[in-house]
Amino acid sequence: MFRFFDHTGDYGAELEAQSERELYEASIDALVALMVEDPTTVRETETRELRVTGVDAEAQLVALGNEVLFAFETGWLCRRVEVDALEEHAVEATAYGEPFDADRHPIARPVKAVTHHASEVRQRDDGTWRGTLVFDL
Amino acid sequence: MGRRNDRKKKKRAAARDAAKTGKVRVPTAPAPYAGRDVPLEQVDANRWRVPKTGAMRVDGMVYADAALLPSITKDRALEQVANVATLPGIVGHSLAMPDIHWGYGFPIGGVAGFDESKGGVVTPGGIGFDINCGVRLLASDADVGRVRDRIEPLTQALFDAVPAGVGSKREQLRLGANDLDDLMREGLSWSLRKGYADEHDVEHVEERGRIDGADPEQVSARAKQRGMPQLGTLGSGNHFAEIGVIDAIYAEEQAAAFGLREGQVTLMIHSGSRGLGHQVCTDSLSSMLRAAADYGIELVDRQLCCAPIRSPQAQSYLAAMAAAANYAFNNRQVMTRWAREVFDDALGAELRTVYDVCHNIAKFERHEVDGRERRLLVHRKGATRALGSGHPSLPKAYADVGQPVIIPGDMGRYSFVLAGGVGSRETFGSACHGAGRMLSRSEAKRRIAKSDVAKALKDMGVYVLGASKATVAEEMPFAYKDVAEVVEVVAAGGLASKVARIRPLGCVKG
Repeated sequence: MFRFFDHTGDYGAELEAQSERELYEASIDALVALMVEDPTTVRETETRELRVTGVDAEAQLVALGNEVLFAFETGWLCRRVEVDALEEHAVEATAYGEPFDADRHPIARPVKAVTHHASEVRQRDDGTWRGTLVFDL
Repeated sequence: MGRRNDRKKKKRAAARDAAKTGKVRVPTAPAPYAGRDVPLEQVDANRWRVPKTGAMRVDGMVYADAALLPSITKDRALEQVANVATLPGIVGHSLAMPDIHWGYGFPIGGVAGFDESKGGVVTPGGIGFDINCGVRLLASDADVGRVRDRIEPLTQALFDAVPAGVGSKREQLRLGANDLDDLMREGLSWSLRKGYADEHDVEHVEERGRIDGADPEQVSARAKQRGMPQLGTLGSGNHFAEIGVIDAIYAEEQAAAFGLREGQVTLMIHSGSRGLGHQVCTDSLSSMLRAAADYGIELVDRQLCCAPIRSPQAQSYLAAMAAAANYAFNNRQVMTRWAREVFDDALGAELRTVYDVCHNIAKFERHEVDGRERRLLVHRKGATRALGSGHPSLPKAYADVGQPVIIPGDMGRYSFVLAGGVGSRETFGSACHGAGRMLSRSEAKRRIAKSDVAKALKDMGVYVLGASKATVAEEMPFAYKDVAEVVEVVAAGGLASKVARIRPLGCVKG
C-alpha cells in the first residue's frame, strides 16, 4: 500500500506492508502509479527477472525502483513485481508487464530517478513494515 | 539436475555480489537542524546567515529579501543548506540563491565550494540527476509582429520538430557506433564537426560547450543505452522549448552587446543530459554510499553521499559527469538545429545563440577566499555561473559587459536575461537559475482541473503544447515564485544586473 506525500519539486511515497517483500512490491506500485496515467492499461503478457544489490535495505529499495525505470526507458513497461527472494546482498524479483506502446500507455510523468533522499525501510513493533521513497521528476 | 545447477549459479552470483557489495553500515550523523526552526541572522537587506551548529563546518548564507523568506522557510530548504555545510572540505559558506527550494540532499538553488587540499569532497547530489541541465537562449532577426498571428502553428511546428516527453513521433537521430563516445569526449566540437553547430555557437556557450576531463569509459553501458536514442530530445518535468518576445530592456549597453532589442523574437531551450545523465548519477550514488563508509564520512542525509576529490570514486564520477555534461551541450545544440529549421521554414528567420548556461554542474574554478586565491570544486545545483566583466572565460563580445545569465521564469509570466556582476565573487561567481518552485506538484494539481489548464494559459496569452499529461498542470505559474522577485534580490546583491525581460508566447513542454 502506498500514499504520496508532498515534496516541493517532486513526489514522495509512504509505503506500508505486512512483510518486507510486500514493501518492495508496494514501492513499484507507487512508481507505476506515478508514471502511468492508467496502470490497468499495462498488460502482464511478459515477465522479466530482476536482480538488484545495495549496501543496505534502503539502497536495495532504491535500486529496485531504478531497475524498473531503466526497463521503461529501454522500452519495457512494468505493471507490478513479485519479490522472489530477499537475500543478504540482493533482491530478486519477477516483473510483470509488456513492451511500452506510446499509443496504449499514456505516460503521466516520466520519472528521472528514485532518489536516496529520506529513503527508509523499517519494521514496526507490530511486525508490519513501513518505507519511504522520494522520486525525482 | 537443472535445479541443482540453478542453485550453484545463485550461490556463485551471491558470492560475487558479497564481494562487490557486502552489507555496510552507512555512517550517519544527526542533521544540524532536523525538525527545528532554522535560525537566521540578518546580514543586510538581501543576505541572511545560518549560524554554524552541530556538524556544520561553515555558516550558511542565504540570498533573499524579507518578501521571499516565508516561502523559503516553509519548505525546509534551510535545513538542507545547513546539511551541506557538514560536508568535508567545504570553504566559505554553504550558499543559497533566492530561488532556493527543498531538493534531495542539496537544496535546489544551492552552491558550495570544496578545497581538494583540505579533504574536500565531490557529492553527486550537489550536481543532481540531470547533469548539465541548462538553458540556451537564441535571438532571432524576426520581430514579434511577424509571429503574433501564427503562434499556434509555429509552436505546433516546434512541437513536431523537437521530440518531447516519451513516445515522440520524430524519427530518432541516428548516431554511429563511435558518435556517442565522441560527443561525450569532445563536447560541442562534435556538433561543429557534424554540422549541427557553427563557430559562433561554440564561442557563445559556457566553457565553449566542453567540460574538461570527460572519459566515456567511466560512463556505464546502461547510461549509454539510455542516452543513445535520446540525443536531441527535450525530456520532461520542467523542460521546455519556448518562443518569446523581448518586452523590456533595462540596460542599453549590455543589451546591445548581447544583441538584444525590444520586440525581438527569442527562443529558449531548457534541457539537460536526459537518461544518460540520470543514470550516471544513479550509478555514482551507489558507489558514493559505499565510499562514505570506506572513508568514514558521516552523512546527515544519504543523498549527500560523497568521496574525497582525490579518491578513485570521485575521479571516476567527475570524468563521467563531464562526459554527461558534454552530452547535454550537444543535446541542446541538436535541438537548436531543428528549431532553426522551423524558424527558417516558417518565417525565413535566423536564430543566433546569445548564450548557453549550465545550472547543474561541478567545476574546478579559481576563487578568492579570505584574501587568498584557491582552486575549488564548485558545485551548482540549480544555480548559474554569473561571471562579471573582464573575466578571461568570457567570449570576446561580452568581455566588457559580463556573462549573459539566462533566468527562465514560469511558463506564464516572464523570463530574464542578466549580466554577471563582479559582486558574484562572494558566491563563487554564481546566481539563481529560475523562479524556484513554491508548491509541491500534488498541491499544484489540486489547484487546477486538467480541463482548465489550457484556458488559464490562453488567458495569460501563452499557447502551451505539453507532451506529458500531468506535468502541464504541475508546472502552472502559481506553483512557482515570481522570478521578478528572485531577480531583484540577485541584482540588489550585486551578483548580476538586469538586462532584458522576455515574455512567453508559445511553449513546448516535455
